[in-house]
Amino acid sequence: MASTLVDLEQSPYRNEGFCAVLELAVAAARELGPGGDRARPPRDAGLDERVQREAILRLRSGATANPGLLPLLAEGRFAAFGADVPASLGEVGRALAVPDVFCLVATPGTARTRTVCEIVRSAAERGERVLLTAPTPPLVDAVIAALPDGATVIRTDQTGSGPGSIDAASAAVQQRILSRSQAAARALEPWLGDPSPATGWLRRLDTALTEAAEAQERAGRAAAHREATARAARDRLGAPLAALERELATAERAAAATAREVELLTAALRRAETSRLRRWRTGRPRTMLSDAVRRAAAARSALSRTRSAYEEGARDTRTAIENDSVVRAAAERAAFADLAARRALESAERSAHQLTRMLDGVLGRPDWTADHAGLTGFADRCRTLEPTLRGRAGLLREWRQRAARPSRQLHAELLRYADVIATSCLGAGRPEHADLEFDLVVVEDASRVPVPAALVPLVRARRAVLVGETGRPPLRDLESVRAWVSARCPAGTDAAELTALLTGSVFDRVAARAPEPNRAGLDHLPPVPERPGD
Amino acid sequence: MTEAAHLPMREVVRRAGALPGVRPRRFVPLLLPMWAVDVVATVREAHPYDVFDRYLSRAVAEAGLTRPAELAAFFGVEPALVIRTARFLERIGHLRRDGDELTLTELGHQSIKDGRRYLLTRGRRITLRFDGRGGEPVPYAHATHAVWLSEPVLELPDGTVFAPVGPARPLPSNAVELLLDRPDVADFTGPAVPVEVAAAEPRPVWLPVYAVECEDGPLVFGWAVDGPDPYLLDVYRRHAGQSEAD
Repeated sequence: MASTLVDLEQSPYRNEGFCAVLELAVAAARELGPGGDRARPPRDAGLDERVQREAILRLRSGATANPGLLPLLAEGRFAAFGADVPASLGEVGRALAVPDVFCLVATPGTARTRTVCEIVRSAAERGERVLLTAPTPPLVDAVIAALPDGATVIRTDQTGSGPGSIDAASAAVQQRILSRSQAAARALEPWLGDPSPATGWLRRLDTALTEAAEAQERAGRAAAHREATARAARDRLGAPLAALERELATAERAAAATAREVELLTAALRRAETSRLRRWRTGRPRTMLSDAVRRAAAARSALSRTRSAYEEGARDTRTAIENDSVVRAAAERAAFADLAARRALESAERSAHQLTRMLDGVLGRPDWTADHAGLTGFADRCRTLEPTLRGRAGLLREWRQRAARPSRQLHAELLRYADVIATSCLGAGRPEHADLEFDLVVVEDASRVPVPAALVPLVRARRAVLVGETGRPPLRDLESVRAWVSARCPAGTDAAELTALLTGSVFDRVAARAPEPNRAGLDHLPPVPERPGD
Repeated sequence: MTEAAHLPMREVVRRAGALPGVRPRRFVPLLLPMWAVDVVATVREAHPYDVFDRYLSRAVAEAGLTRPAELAAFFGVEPALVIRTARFLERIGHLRRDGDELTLTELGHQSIKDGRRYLLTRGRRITLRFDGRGGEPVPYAHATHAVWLSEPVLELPDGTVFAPVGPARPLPSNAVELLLDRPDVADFTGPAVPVEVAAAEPRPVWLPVYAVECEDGPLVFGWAVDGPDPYLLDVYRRHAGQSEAD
């Protein structure tokens, strides 16, 4: 059997007398016969005794999950609590709020089971690990049967692969893993292998982008060559047009000059006509204006003719350049190069679409633009992601292969991480529980559990809820215990304490000393409101 | 003490005589001077991974998954399982949590690399042993399966007296550091590999051996190996060389 390593030299060595009486109580119980949990099925008495002794050893050495457990049991010293707890908090809220031990006084029945269920469910929902124990399996069954689905509940005293057993829980977890990870595995499949299909498409994208860049460069060169050829052709074929251009400039200047002359003469005539002294001398300017108007009309006419001739010449020159064989060849080459660049980019776009489909469902649909810069950025991103996604794909495949084969290797971790572990009190000391710790232990029907047996789950939890009833008969016949104590109790041992441990339950001991905030009587409080679906 | 300190001479004579082709000429009981250094160390012990802690560590290390929610979705498990496993790995120093982000520590990375879940334990008292001639560390099997004497005196019940082979050379001050830097450090320290030590002063110790002079050369018998011990032979030769030089 596994044992817990404890260092007695390092621990605060307190309440030694109480621990010694506890040990003596375990030895006495062996001789006196079973106490409160007579109804439990027969077990290995030696194993039961060993797990109780181990729990006492942990208590004595301070190796308990709740460091205040020993003073609480030995001296009735509870942690400070209650000042900041609202009075309206019900028994479930208080059971979850106490820093050490809470006692729920309630007679067996549906209300008690429902309250225990609510405590266990609420604690599990808060992310706490709960150890649910009782002196007999049926009490555990009753609580578990009333727990809602969702939490991982494992019955460690359940043998075989029945419901709630570790085998069944393991199989259920494996099944859930396989079904839940199926979509992710399918989505990651293209990233699996070396080279993976995704890597293939990424290579195609890279190649297409390289080709597109080269084609784009070729297209640029071809366009430049086309422009240069056209310029050369213009120089070669454009001499007549240049002459026409010069004529046009001359005609424009002449038209502008005559128009200016008309303007000046018109202004002079207007000034003369408005002057009383010079009014009689307007004949000559009027004649000059008339001549100027004629010259301007002739210049405009000449300009119009010259412009028409120039435009016609320009058209002819353009046509001649376009029809020039060298220019046409250059233009065709440029057009082909441009087409090739567009096709290479389209090829890259197709690869990008494939990669987008492969990324969709793994990381969400990526955004990119269908130009060279956008596609290059997308390829860079895919290259960065590829090792991670390949790692994920490989890991998920291994994980699913691992989950697909039956294994007991998961058992230890399931016990370590399950929401609720349910077992009998002494079952909590089984070897596989050796290093398990819990946030909360709920001891159902604690009024039938002797202190040494209750220690087995109590040392493993930071907080505890003891559920029981008061006024129950002693766990053992008082007279027999007194007779044993008077005959066998070693000198110096607290006989009254030993008698109390042999006849009283953990619930009697703790509830009697618990301060008001640490205990609640279900029978005197309103019942827990039913949850929807109950 | 002397009764279990070494094999009796007659047993060594029997063993040497049983070796094919070996003709012993002389049996010399010797005490090889060595060094012992008692240290308080932080040791790294290797444990097998469970299932989920290994995959969770690998997912953080290899798959770029760092948030509990995405890890739970990736593995198809309940988030509580991821959170509790992460808490466990954090407690043993394999994971670091920064808000919702999990990162592997150096110990976690080393564990994943070696496929073993390393745990660090502080305050472990261990004794490291070194050869008294060259200051080389003593292999773990010899360190653990030999009787080490604190005084250069040993007489067996059959009257065999072991004689010390001169004094040890001073142990180099950086012998412990050099040992910890060795990639094969576990060969000398055993499975609990010290990673940090607070070393004390070395103390001299003596290792009883039988040097057997044979026609073809010497053999050395110790506790750790049933037959002739090549490691002890090497140590013996170094000491013999030193003695001749002295």
